[in-house]
Amino acid sequence: MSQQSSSSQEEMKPIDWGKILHEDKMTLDLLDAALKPGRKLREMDKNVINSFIEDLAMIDEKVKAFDFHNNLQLANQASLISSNIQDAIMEFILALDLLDTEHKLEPKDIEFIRRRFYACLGNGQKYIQEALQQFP
Amino acid sequence: MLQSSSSNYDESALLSQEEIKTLYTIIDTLHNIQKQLIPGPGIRELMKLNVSGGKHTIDMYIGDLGEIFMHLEDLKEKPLPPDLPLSIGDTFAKSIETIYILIRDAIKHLNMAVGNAEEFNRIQLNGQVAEKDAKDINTNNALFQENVERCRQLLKDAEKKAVVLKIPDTVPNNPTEKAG
Repeated sequence: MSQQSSSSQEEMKPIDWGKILHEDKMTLDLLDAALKPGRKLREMDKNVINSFIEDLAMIDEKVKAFDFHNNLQLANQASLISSNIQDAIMEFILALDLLDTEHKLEPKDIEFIRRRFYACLGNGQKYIQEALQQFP
Repeated sequence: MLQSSSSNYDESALLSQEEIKTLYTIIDTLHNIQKQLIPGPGIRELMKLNVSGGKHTIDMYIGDLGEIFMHLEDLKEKPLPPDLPLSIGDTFAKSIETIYILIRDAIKHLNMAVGNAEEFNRIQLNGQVAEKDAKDINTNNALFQENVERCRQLLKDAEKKAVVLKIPDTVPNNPTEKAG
C-alpha cells in the first residue's frame, strides 16, 4: 500500500516540478525576449545586465535546492538548467567587463569590444534558451 | 508516385500558402532595406542621426529585421512533416538557420553603426577641440560606412537564401500533404 502511494507520488513529480519552477521559466522567457536582436541591445547598460545576473543566480540557487527524491531524470534536467544558467552568467559578466573596458579605448578598439559585447549577450541568450528547453 | 524521387521536392513545399506569402514579404523587406543601404548620399544622410532622422530610419530597419528574426525563430521550432525525406528536411532547416544567423548579424552591424554615428555626431556637436577628435571623426565615419556595408552584404545573402525557399510555379505543392 505504502509502495503504491510512493509510486503515484513519483508520477506526480514532473507536474510539481513544472509548477514550482513556473515562475523561473517565466523569468527566463522574459530574459530571452529582452536579449533578442534589436535596438534594445544597444541600450543595454550595466544596471540591466546586473539585474539579469541577479535573476539568473536566484533561479540557479532554487534549482540546486530542489529535492528530486532520487528522480534521476529530473535531477539531470535540473543539472543542465543549472549548468546553462552558470554559463549565461559567465557571458554576462564578460559583457560587463567589456563595457568597463571600452571607456578608455580608441574608436577602432571600441568597435572590436562592441562586437564581442554583442556576441556575449547573444551567447548568454543561447544558454538561457538551452536552459528553457529543459523545462517540462 | 509523388514521392518517387527527391528531386520532386522543393524546400518551399514545406511551407503553407500563408507562410509562402509571408516569405514573399520577407524577401521584399530584405530587398528594400539593402537597397536603401547602397553606398551613396543616402548613407551620409543616415549618419546625421538626429538632424535628418537617421536614427529613426535605422531603428525602423532594425524593427523590421527583428520581426523577420522572430518569425524565423518560430519557423525553426515548427516540426517538419515526419515522412519527409531527410535530405529535404535537412536542407530546409539549414536554409532557415542560415537566414536567421545572417539577419541576427545584420542587426548587430546596424546597432554598431548607430554607435559610430552617435560618436561622430557627439564630437561634431561639441566642436572639434583636439587633433584626436578629427581622427575619431574620421574613424567613426569609416566604421559607420563599414558596418552599414557589412549589414547590406548580409541582407543580400539572406535575400538570396530566402529566394531559394520561394515556391517556383513549376513545383507542385507539398507532396506529403497530398499523399496524406
